[in-house]
Amino acid sequence: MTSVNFKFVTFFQHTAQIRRLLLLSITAFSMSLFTVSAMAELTIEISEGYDNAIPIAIVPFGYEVQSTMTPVSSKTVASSQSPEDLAKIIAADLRRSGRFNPLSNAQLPAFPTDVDALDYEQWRALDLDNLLMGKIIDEGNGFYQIEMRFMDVLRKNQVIGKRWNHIPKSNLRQIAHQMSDLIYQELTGVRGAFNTQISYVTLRKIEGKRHYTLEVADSDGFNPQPILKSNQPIMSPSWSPDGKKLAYVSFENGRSQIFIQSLDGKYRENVAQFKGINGAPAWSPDGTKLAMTLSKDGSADIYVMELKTGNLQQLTRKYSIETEAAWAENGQSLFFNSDRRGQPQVFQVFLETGEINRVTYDGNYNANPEISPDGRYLSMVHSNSGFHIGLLDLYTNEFRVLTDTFLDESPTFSPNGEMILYAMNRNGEGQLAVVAIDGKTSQTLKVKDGEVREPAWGPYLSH
Amino acid sequence: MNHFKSLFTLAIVASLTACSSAPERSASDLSDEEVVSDTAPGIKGDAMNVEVLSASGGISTDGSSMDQSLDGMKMVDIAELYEPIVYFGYNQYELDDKTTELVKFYAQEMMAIPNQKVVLKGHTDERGTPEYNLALGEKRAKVVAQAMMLFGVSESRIDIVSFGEEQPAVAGSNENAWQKNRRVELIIN
Repeated sequence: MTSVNFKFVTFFQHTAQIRRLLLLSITAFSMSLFTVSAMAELTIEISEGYDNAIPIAIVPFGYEVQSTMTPVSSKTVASSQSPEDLAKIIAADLRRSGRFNPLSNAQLPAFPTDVDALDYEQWRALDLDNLLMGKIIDEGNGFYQIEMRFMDVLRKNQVIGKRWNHIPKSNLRQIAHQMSDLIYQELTGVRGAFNTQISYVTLRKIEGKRHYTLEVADSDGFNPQPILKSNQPIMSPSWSPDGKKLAYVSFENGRSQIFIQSLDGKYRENVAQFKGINGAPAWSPDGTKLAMTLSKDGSADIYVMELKTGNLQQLTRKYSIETEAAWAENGQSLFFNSDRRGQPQVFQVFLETGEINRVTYDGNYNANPEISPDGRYLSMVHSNSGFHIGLLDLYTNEFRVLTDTFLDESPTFSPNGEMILYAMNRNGEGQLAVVAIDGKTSQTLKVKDGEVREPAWGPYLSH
Repeated sequence: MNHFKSLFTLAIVASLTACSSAPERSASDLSDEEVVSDTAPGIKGDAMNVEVLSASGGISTDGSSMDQSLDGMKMVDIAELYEPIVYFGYNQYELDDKTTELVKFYAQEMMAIPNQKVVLKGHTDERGTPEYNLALGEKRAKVVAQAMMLFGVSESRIDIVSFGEEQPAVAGSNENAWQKNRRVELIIN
C-alpha cells in the first residue's frame, strides 16, 4: 500500500571547508482510498557529520521468489520487484547517526547476496572493515523472509547472521531498522534507536484556519500516522513507558485539558479537566503516575496523578509559575521549571520529602527540562539572548549549548540517550531537528505542507 | 484627572487614525474564526501608534487637522475606539497605567450592563517553551481579571482561558509580530 521514493542530492558549501550537507528527501505516499490528508512528505537534512565517520558497505539486498511447489527457490533476481529497498533504509539510518559513512552503490565493486559469492579481496581495497548483505525471499501471499549477513571483510568472517520469517510487507521497514540497530550496537557498543517511533504535532493552515494533527511516525519520519485531528491546539505529547499510549494536551473543549490515548485508538480518556490550566503531562518511569501542571488552586503548580485512582499529590505551592515536570530516571524526584526567582529556571523536587533544590544557574532562561534515559544528562531550553537547547551533565555539572538554530524548544532524548530531537523555527516555519548530545551531528525534519512541532521520542519497541 | 487626561489623548489619536483607516472593530467581531486567522483585521490604529503620538504631546505634525480632530472627538463613540485587547511586555504579566485604563473602561461598561459576561483569553508570543507560555498566558488573563474585579465586576462574570503561544494574532517571527501576540483579548457578550 505504500510506495516509497528516495531522492539523494548532495550540496557543497561555497567555502573551502568540506562541510557537507546531504539532503535526503523522502516521499511517502499513502495510497489509502479515503485519506488524502494521510499523504505526507517528510524531508531529512543532515549537516555536520563526524569527521571520522566509519565507511561501511551496505549492499542492495537480493530478491528471490520462493516456488510454492518445490522447496528450492527459483533464483530470479529482479531487484526492481523488491517490495522495499532495505539497504537504502539501513544506509540512511547509519548515515543519520553521523557515525557512519555508507558507500554509494556506484562505489561498490560487486553486489553479493550470499557468503559464497563474497570475494573478500574485492573489498579490502576500499579501506573498510564491514559489509552488510542479504536477501528478501518472497514467500507469496504478501509475506517475506529476510536474511541478513553482517561481515567482517578484514577477518573474513560473519559477525551477525539473522533470518526473519513470515514478515508482512508493511513490516519490512521495521526489519530494516532492526538490522540498523544490530549493526549500530555491534560497532559502537550502544543500542541503536532506529527501530523506534516519534510523535509530534503538525500545523497546517487551510483557508486561514489552523488544523492540528497529532502524528506518530517511524524515527526516520516514515509511516506518519495521524492519531488525532483538531482545529484547536494540541500540545505536549508524552509517551507511556511501554510505548502503547500517549498523554497530551488538547484544546478541543475550548481550554487545555489532558487526554490519554492508546495508539491503536481503542482507548481515549480525558484525565484532567480541572478549572484553569491542565498541561505538561509526563509519564512516570513505572507507568502508574502522570505528572502534570494544574492551576486549579490559583497559579500553575506541579501535581502527580495516580492513574488508577485519579488521586492527586500537589508538589509545589507557589504564586509563581511551576510547570514542565520531568521524571528522574529512578522515579523518585521530578525536575521542573519555575520562575520563582523572576525568570524560568530548573528546580528539582523530591517526592518523599518535598525538598526542592535549584538545578540550573547558567543563563537567564532555562525551561522544559528533560532527563536522559540513563539519568546523567538534563536537557533544557536555554536562553541568554536566543533560545537554544542546553545540556547539563548532572555528574560533572558541565553545561553546554548544543544547538545554534532559531527559537529552539521541546527537547526529547532518543531512548539510547545519544540524540536529542527538538523543535525549531526556520524561515518562519516550525521544523524538527536532531542533534547528537556531543553536538557533532545534526539533521532537520520537516513536513512540506505545514509546520511541525512538539516532538516526543518514544521508548524502545518491545517484540 | 490624570486618567481623564490620558483618555482624552487616546481619543484624539484614535479619531485621527479613525479618519484615515479601515472600519472599527467592536468586541463582537472577535469571533474564534478571526482569532485563529493569520492577520487580525482591525489591529491597525493600534496601541503602538497611541504610544508614539502621546509621547510627543499629542500634537499632530499635520497642524491643519488639529481642529478637525477635536471636533471629531466630540462625535466619536469611545466604545468603538478602545480595542478590547490588553498588550504586555516580553515575559511580563503586569498592567501599566494605560492598560489599567483600558481594563477600567470595559469594567465600567460591564457594570452598566449587568448581564454581560467576559471571557479573558490570554496569549503569549512564540518565544520560550509552549507549556511555560500556557501558564504565562493564564497569568496575564488573571491580572486583567483582578483589575476588572477591582473596578467592580464580580468574579462570576469573568471566565479565563489561556492559549499560550498557540494562537498568535499575527504571523511572523519578529518584534512587531511578537508585540501584537502578547495579549489578553476581552470577549464581552
